[in-house]
Amino acid sequence: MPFFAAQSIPSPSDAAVFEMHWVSRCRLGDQDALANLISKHRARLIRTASNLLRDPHEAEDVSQEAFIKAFREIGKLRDDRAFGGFLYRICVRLCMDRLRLKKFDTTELDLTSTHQSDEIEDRLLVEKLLKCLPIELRTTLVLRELEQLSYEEIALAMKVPVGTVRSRLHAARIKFRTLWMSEEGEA
Amino acid sequence: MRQAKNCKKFEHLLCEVGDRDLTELEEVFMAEHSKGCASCGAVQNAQSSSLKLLKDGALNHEGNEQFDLRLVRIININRARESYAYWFPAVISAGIAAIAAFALMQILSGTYVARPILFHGPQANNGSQNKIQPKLVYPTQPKIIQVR
Repeated sequence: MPFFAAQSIPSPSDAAVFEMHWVSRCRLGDQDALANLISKHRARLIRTASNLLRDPHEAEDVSQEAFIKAFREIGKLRDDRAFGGFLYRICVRLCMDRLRLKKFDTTELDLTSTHQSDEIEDRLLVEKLLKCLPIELRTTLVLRELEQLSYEEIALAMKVPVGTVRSRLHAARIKFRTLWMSEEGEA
Repeated sequence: MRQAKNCKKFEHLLCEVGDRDLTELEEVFMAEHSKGCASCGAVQNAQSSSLKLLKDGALNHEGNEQFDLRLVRIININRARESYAYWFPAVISAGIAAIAAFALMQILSGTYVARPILFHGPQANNGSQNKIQPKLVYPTQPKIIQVR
């Protein structure tokens, strides 16, 4: 009988036990455990990377890179229950690295075309405004407002103190608002 | 002066609205200040509108099953590459190639001299009619010298 066959909806503690079990099996080269871990974390990872990079294809690339790196370094993980956070941290840092590389990419967005739907227009405007923010502020804002992470989780993912997250978030909100107001004024 | 201080406090609280529940006093202060100060009221509206825009413009791409399959395949290839079985044939082939290269270099540099193989009896002229075979027979019978 499979290990989890009798389980229905797992509680958070059960989920942690499942994860621990899968991680330890994955370390031994179990294919099912590998597939389970990927399908469990894939959606969140790709969504976060998409919002940080504003490009779904690049987000898939970065998520793939994060998974490969995490599985390669799985031996370094001291607590198997922390695999999710470990993977997420790798992904956020890879996204920040990509954003640093893209910093000099000066592609201009065309917001003037009228045939686009409101939803796409909003997305393009958000992309334009986020591009104007420094990488650290942008990452902090996205992780807080879109991914709903706590200050502690953001601090862990970005490897900075909680106080820094607080001040960055404050600055990011003000700057985003100012940019939005100037964009609205121009419109 | 007092007004400027209140505006600063208002802006500070405005940023904290999304992160924590404000106290009753803070809520009352914000409500009263936004009524009395037009610019702070506008900032409050702008703040909520800009954050709403940010949330509306979120991307919800989450990948699909193909991503999982592709990733499992890549990880398996990487694992195989890191294993002994993957590199063993390559190491053996490299060894053979190195020996062959060494032998070739020896021949080309002239340090290796091929010596003719000498045969006796019926094999001596087999397939090498035109070659001069060295004489392996003494021209005269050796003398036996008795030493006293």
